[in-house]
Amino acid sequence: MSCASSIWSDVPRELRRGVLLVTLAVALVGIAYGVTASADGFAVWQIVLLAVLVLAGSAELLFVGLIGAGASPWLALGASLLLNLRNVVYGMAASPLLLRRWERWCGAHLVNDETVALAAAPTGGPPRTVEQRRATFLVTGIGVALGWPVGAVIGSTLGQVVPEPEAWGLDAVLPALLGALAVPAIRGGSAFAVAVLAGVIALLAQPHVPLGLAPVLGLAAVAVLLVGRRDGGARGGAREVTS
Amino acid sequence: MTEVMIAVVLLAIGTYGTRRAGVALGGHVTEGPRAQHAERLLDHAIIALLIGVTLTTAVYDGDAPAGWARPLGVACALTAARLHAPLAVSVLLGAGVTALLRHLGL
Repeated sequence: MSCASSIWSDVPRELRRGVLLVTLAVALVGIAYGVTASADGFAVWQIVLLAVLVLAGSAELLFVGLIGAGASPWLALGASLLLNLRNVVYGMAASPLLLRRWERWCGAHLVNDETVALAAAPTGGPPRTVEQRRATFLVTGIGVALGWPVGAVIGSTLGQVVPEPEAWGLDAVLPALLGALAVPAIRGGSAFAVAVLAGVIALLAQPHVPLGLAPVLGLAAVAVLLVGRRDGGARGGAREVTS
Repeated sequence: MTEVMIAVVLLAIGTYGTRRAGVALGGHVTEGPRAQHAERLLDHAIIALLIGVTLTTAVYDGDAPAGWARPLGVACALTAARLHAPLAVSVLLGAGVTALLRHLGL
């Protein structure tokens, strides 16, 4: 318990509310996932097993959605794994924060959009220490690891009561959350250019490539705009993001 | 159903594999200008991925456009975030506007 409270106190004060809100938002998406999955014929224990073992929101929604639509489990597996390819990049970002051996093995499971976005969140002032970013990553990860399955349980039990998560706008929670986490990090010309180009590529590619690949193709924006250019006009802005 | 359960287990192993591979690949270079350059690339890659996932999940259901309500709701959330609204306000605004537009029949 003292370990848990000391890691919480390492989370920078201005990020603490963000961590709790991410947990809550993930639980809300979890409810939508639970409702969807039970409508697609999955049992509560299967929904929770997926939530705990896979712990990747959009991939699970895709997996249960495809199987519910009658696709073969192998197709659903391939598509969901493709959607999770971006975790390789997120894992690289989390890597310097996971110092001990067990952290690298256990912490890897906590790598996802939300934990990496918060751990890399820009500061208003001085750069954050590795300890602070590590604590932010781990605490957000624990929040997501709890919030997601709990939301899924509530959703899959509620499935019969609230049959339409869309009517409540619950399907907008995931994009709104990820977007709201990304936007503050877009400072300076190069980050803005990368965001716009990556967004355009992903949107144009989506109907033409297997599900999940479009955002990964958007990484081409980074290659086009930044690789080989060690410094450019926008460097000052981008350094702030790094902090 | 057995096939589905095998797929679930493989999905869990595969997903963990992508994460663990990233953790293993990253963090070899930790100091000097090369590390700074790599970190800068990584920061931009995170932005590119988050925006890509945001926009595709806002606009599409699978590979078909999902209608106007969700993209407009998410656009409100992004605008709010841009204007330094708290995270909760942005997210609730996104869901709320989406739900409202649907009730209005969009």
